[in-house]
Amino acid sequence: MLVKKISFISPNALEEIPDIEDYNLDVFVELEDGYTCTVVIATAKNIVSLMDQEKTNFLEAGEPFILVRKMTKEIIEEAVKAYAENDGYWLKFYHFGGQVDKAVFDRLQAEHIEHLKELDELDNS
Amino acid sequence: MKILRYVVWLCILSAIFFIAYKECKEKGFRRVKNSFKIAFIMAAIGTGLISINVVKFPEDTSSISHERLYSEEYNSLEANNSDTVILAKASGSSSSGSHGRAQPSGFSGQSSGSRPPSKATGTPKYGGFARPKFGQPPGGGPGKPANFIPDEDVASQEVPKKKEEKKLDNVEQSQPPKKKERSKSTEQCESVDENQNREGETKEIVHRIKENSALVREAEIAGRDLDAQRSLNNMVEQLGLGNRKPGIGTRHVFKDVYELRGRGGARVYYREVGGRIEILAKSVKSNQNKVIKILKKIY
Repeated sequence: MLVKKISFISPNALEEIPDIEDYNLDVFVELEDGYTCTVVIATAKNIVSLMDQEKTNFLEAGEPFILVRKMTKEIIEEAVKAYAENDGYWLKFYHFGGQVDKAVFDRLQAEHIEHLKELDELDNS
Repeated sequence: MKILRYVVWLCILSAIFFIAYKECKEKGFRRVKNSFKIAFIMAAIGTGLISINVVKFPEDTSSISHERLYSEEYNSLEANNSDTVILAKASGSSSSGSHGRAQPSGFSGQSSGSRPPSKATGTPKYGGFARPKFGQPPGGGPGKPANFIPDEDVASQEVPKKKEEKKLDNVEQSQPPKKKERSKSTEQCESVDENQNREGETKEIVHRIKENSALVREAEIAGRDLDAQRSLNNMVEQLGLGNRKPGIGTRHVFKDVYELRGRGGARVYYREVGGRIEILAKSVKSNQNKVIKILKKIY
């Protein structure tokens, strides 16, 4: 999927970053079909900072982050374009992550269990 | 004491009389009379029975006249004695009583305060009745009054206060002005940091989402997910307690509008006006862009 436009929450968002190695930012990615995905791009250091902030040994469950080394315009564009490949699968995955209804996972789980049973029957026959 | 004084006076009187009698060039009764006058006065002065205040004499040197004012003690002496008060006027005569009595001009004409001691043993020196000028203390005599403060001391006392005031003014002026030569982006960054760092200040929260139907609708969409709704409520609560960095970080959207970002994609938009926090909108990632566009239109 081609990326039409990459934008941020404010025009000067990248200039306001105090530490490009310890930050996370909402990035709006407009695809060629006109749909706009919202992804959170964060640095690896920022993940540790969030754990320190919450005083936990793990990152709390939540929306997935696209991890980058530094919060620069070039690296962000590189990451977004990579995630937009394969018809934007992973980009949409990171966009909808956390918003998918649990019923979808239950359905997927059921389908998977059914598939496993069929495989066992084939093995046994 | 008075008797002793009179005895001493008589002795001095007689001694001076004989001396004056010998020196006097006149003859007969006048000789005796003048001698007695001189002896009488000098003896009285010498024994302190008479206190003399000399009035400033005129500049006319042709006639030298001295006016002497006698103290009350002399008047009492007059009362006790039948002797008359003598105002001696030395008009160019060689009488020793008035000779050399030129007094400095600074003397006042009134008798007050400092008088020579009346004891016979502590007779003042000749001219000891002279009083010092006001503010110029004598060797041991009376000087300036206790409350007198010369003008120089008053001025010096006022100066340090003025200096202190000047110092305060200089300190205030020397403080550099804040945030004058900085770019807009850095100001925004700093304002974001200041906003984030202000913690522990509980503030009143005002919900203004209901003022716009579009924002109400978008907030309802965001609240459909129970986890997102829980995250939204938690962030608003944290904001009211003074925590401006709940979740994964607060970001500046535009003007004075900021965005609280939860871990599960929940977003709360607020601004601070008049010491109160106004909740402007709520969203999730799916309607985040739309909510921001509506907010930019309204605010």
